[in-house]
Amino acid sequence: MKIRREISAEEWQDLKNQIEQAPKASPPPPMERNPASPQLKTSRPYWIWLGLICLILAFFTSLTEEIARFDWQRLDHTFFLLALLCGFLQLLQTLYQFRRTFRSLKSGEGLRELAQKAMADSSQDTALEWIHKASLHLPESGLSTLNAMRTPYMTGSDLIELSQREWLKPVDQKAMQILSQSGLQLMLQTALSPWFLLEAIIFMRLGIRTMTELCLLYGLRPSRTLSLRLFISSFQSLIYTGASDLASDSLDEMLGGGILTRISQRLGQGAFAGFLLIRLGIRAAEQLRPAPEPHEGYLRKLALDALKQEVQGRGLST
Amino acid sequence: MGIWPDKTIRLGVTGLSGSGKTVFLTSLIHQLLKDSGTQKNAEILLSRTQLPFFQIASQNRLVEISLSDRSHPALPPFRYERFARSLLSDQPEWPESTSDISFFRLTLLFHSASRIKRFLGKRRIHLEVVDYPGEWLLDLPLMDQEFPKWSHHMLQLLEEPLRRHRAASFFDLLEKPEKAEAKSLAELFAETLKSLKYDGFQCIQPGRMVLPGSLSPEDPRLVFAPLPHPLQSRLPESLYRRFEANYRRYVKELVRPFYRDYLKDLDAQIVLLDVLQALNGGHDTFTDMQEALKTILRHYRYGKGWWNLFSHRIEKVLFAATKADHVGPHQIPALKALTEEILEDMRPGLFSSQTRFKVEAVSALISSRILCEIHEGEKLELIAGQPKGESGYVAVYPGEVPTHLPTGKEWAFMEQNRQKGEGFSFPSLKPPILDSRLMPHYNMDRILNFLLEGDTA
Repeated sequence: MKIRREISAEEWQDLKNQIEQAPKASPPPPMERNPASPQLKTSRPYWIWLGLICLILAFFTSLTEEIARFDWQRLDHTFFLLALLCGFLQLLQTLYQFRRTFRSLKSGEGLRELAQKAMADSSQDTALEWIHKASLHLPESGLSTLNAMRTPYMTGSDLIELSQREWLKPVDQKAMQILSQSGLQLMLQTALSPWFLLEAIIFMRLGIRTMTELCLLYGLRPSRTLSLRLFISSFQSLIYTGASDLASDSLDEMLGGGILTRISQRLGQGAFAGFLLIRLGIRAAEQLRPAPEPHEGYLRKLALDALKQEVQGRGLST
Repeated sequence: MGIWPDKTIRLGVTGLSGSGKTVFLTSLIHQLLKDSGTQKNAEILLSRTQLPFFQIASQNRLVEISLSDRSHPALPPFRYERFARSLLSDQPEWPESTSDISFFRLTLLFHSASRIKRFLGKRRIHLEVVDYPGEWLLDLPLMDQEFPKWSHHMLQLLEEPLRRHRAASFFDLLEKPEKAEAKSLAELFAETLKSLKYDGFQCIQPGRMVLPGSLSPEDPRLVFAPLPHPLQSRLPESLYRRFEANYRRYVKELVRPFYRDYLKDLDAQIVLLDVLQALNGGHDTFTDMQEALKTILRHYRYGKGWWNLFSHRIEKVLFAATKADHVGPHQIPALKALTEEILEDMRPGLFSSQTRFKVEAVSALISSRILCEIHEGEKLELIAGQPKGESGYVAVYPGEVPTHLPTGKEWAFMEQNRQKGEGFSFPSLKPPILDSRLMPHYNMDRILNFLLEGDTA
């Protein structure tokens, strides 16, 4: 097919501005941020569903018995029923959140696949579609930088590469800074905590707070579902910490405390817990990013840089 | 300044005539310097958006860039200001074809990426470039050929059907030994070469007969033409011997020194290919371009390793498909894929496995704009611009760039389409009037990055 037609001077003038003036990406339509929360990359908790179904069955079985014996005149029975109703509503809300969460996870995967597709076939349309969708989540400051650098001739892979660097990298750096700060905080608090139980509580509290901040940073609102998933994931880490605690105690007994008392056991455990939290955070960030990592170990390197800066007291200003 | 010694990269920009070497080099300087001779920190920060893929600029590590065009004792300076003025004026024109050799040196002062290296001071890289007419490169094969062999090859080439009609009067004169004088034969041969160049053919030897540079057209070293052996023709032997002697002098005094002084000791090379123009020309022009390139590149030495201590070799080569703005962005991957295939076709026996390669589609100065339209339910990217020799603006859909080297059947099919007026026809556009006085480009930053990659860590 061959097409050739004359164009007017006005039409040419409009076209001329394509390149000479910094191109502006069409702003995304006003839309609420995705209310669903992300999920950590762990095996899907089918056993939770099984447990929930059993709980529901048990609940209804006992409820029928309770209803048979129910006495409206008794205040404790009324409060008990209200409490049951609240619990039931909570259960419904959790189920709804799970559904939204999985939908969000699926859409996040879809975004990453879209970015991969734009890279593979260099399609500008696919990359622009990805930018539009990602702009619903990510901060707008990076988008304006990206727009200033964008030209109409950039291919899909050019656009994704530029987005990764100008738009996603500042977010990643900030995420890794939060993570390294939490890791160091956990290390110190674990070192100072006298009991294992307190250590576990610190781990969970810091872990949940860090994950919440990461979610907010990547433009997703955290939910209770996330906390539940985090709780499950962090159990594994807690087992490691507990095991190391036990192992060091038994070593202490065996070696008579000669060597181990000279080094700070608690600090060692704290560092271990801190690194576990960072590792967990990196896994979470991988899932939260709307594009795959530009190269293997990219987030790990950013986390290490952030950690070095934190240790040297040169962390990014927040 | 730190402890780092200055590093000099000798860059060879290789391209056949019309591939856009002068515009490429002008844009290369312009992207870094704009209009000033030296650029410092603040302005460099601004150029970050202009060169998004040039790492040392995007990481804000560039401290200073300067252009020095008078640092070569023997060569005239590259006329950057003149070329830039011609492209950025209110009535912009493409710079005239390079007619002589020239030189420039770009100096970049920058910080290292590594904190330890940064502590040891700033680093400086000199990028030295020699610009010369593309036609002169085609003389390189003459260094390996004696006059009889060259004559035989050229006469064979001129007898090919598509060239024969341009060389008719030269062949007529060869048939008439009584009228065949040295000067008239050489002049007629030069005219034949010029008309072949006008038709878009690239295999033109000797190049200085078309573009003599600072040589006078009367120079005795240019008085020769391919001749059949005296035993096979009625031409006087004295004429043959005279031409042979002139040919030897031409090779010894012009071609060899040019190769030795400017092409032998390169560190990096950019090969510019006008693939679209070659496609426009059809099968013969396309294969002619491939052959010409193969012939030229055979004379460069590529590789990397310990032997570099004894003989200089080119470590990195970038093949750039120029004028990428003459197709829409959706066709740029196809243009790149086709250029990769051209490279793969000539790679065996030419480049060592240690040579670093890259293929890029590039536009040194974007002269078109994109207009998206729906035709018969299909989204098409039309190229809008002002064609050469026309006063108005047009929007053209030039056709699809093949993603691979066309086979014989595909060429035949494309030729049929062309005769029906349906084949591809990539436009030749005038440079646009630029209100911003900045040259918009595509991928010049990636080229700079490739050249300096490894030396700026």
